[in-house]
Amino acid sequence: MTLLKVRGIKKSFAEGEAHHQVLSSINLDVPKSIFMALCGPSGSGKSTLLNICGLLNNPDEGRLYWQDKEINFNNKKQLTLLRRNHVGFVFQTFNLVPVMTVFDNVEYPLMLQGVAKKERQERVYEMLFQVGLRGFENYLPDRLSGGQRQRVAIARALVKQPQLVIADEPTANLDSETAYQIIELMRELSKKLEASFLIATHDQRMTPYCHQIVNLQDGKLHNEPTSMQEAKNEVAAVCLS
Amino acid sequence: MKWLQFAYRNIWRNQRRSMMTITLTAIGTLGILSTGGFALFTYDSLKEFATRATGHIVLAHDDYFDVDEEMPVQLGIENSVEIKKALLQEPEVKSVIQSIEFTGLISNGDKSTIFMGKGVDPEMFNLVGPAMKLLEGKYLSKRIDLMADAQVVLGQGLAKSMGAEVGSSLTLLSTTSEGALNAMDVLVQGIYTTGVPDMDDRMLYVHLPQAQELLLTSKIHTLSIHLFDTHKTQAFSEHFKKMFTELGVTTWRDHAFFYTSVKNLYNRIFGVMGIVILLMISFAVSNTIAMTVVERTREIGTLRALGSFDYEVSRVILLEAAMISLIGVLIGVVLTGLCVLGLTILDFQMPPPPGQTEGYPLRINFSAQLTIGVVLVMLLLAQIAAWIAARSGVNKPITEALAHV
Ligand SMILES: Nc1ncnc2c1ncn2[C@@H]1O[C@H](COP(=O)(O)OP(=O)(O)O)[C@@H](O)[C@H]1O
Ligand SMILES: [Mg+2]
Repeated sequence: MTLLKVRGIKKSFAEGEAHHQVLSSINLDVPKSIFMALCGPSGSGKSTLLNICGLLNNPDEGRLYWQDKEINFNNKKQLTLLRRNHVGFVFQTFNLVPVMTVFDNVEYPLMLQGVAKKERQERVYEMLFQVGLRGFENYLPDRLSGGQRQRVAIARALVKQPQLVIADEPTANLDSETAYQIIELMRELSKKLEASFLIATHDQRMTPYCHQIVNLQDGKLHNEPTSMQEAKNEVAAVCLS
Repeated sequence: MKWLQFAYRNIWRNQRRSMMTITLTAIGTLGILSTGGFALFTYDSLKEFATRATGHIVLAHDDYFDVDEEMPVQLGIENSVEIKKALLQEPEVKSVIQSIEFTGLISNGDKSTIFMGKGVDPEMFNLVGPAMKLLEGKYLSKRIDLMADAQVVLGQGLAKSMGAEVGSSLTLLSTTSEGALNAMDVLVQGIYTTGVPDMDDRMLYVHLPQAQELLLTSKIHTLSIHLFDTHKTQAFSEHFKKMFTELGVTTWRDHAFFYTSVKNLYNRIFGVMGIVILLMISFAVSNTIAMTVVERTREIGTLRALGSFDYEVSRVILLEAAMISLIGVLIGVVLTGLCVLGLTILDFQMPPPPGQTEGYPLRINFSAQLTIGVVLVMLLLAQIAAWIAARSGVNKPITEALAHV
């Protein structure tokens, strides 16, 4: 079953009098456990598409199917609950809550889900172990380096074992050494936790790790061949518009 | 517990702004509690003053306070001695003062002037407290010396206009209950002041039986009932209304014109002031929260992206507002407590009110009821202000909030 199906999505923004068509008729299938990159030059609409896939924004036209069920963008409560239970987010600027410790930041999504305290604690520690930050539980984010902060963010995104993780340029604020480590970490955890990753990037280093790369240009998606052999077997076809 | 910690850390993210709001809230609380406490002190003092002067409950002829007498003691009470005895049987009654009012001329042989006299039971002078201050001599003696001239106690101004001192002889001239003229020689026993020159220029006191003798009557005008407990006034006035159906029963409030008018005035002045202060603090809190929300736009967007409902985000902000206002209000309460103590120790005097010669001490009453009320209203207003301020920020589209720099 396809995790997320995007069909005929359009999105435009008003620019004064004129309408700027950012996405014009996008079709995309996001299978389970895929590690997918969304490439394209700055301003091509990557963030706009990701926001729609992450249920943060509604398309002007078109439909989204979450496990074959159409998403109703007017039902705010349902969108919030879907995000709460099934979607993780990793941001370019990390977006940790500065007054919360590393532990608290990672615990937050589990608190939203109402997970019991003891289980929360176990899962947070386990997740921090996975991202290599055991021992940093009581640090406030401002004491961490960029790479460490992004690890916390990844832990926060994955602690609830989401089916989809949306990552908008997660390595853009990191040096290349750290960026590699973060990419590798995401790739590894994606496989381990069977979570689909949808990553917006114009970072060429990302491409060797991806099952599938889609290119966004002039509001349209173009499939790109990947170097990974397994990708060919795993990836579902991308519907070109 | 954790959320309190987050709220606490959030407050210190913009230390200067939070300190300003806390300081404002503290000063505002101090302002409301100290002016309110001053008003309460004033009401208490005036109440004490009034109840001592008139007693808690006054019995009189049903028409006495409404209708002018055509003849002296026309609206008097006949059997006052029995009534007084019956009243003193009541366990809550501390004392009962009979009195009769009369007017006439007072003369020193060379010069005469108008007086307003009262014949009273001499215990009155023990009860009257700060409403009267003896300047010279003594008040009326406990027992009447039938061999000597009648005693009189004069107001300061009246004594001055008569050129009288303690021991001077004067003559009182008045109309009897039958309409004839009668005179009585009196000996000045003491000179007093009420602090109100208009009263001091006219008033004098004599023993009740001697006033009755002058007026050729056995009646009196009023019985002032002093209770042990002011709070029981209302209950006992109802009780006495049933007991003495033919008499008019009034309470000290009906006669405390100064108390009532000061209370109305102060309630209005301090009420408006309180509202202004509350509005000011609400604006300060609302402004702080609005700025906080703008500063944390991206953070709020993040929390909402992670699947928080709007109310779950607002809750954190409201907790922060509650903490700021609570800290401010508590500091204000402590400051008020210090002011109360300070004023008690330092004993500042207020200038005399209009028409009076004596000042009075500046004190603040610390009322638990007022304090709790003000604290709750402050916290509630701060929450409402914060909620209004936070609403627009929290309702911003998530993508816009996340793109905020
Ligand atoms: N909220 C918005 N209002 C107006 N224009 C927007 C808004 N969001 C994005 N855009 C425009 O849409 C285009 C695509 O933006 P974006 O999706 O952020 O691109 P990318 O992430 O690929 O750099 C840009 O031209 C941008 O100016
Ligand atoms: Mg972008």
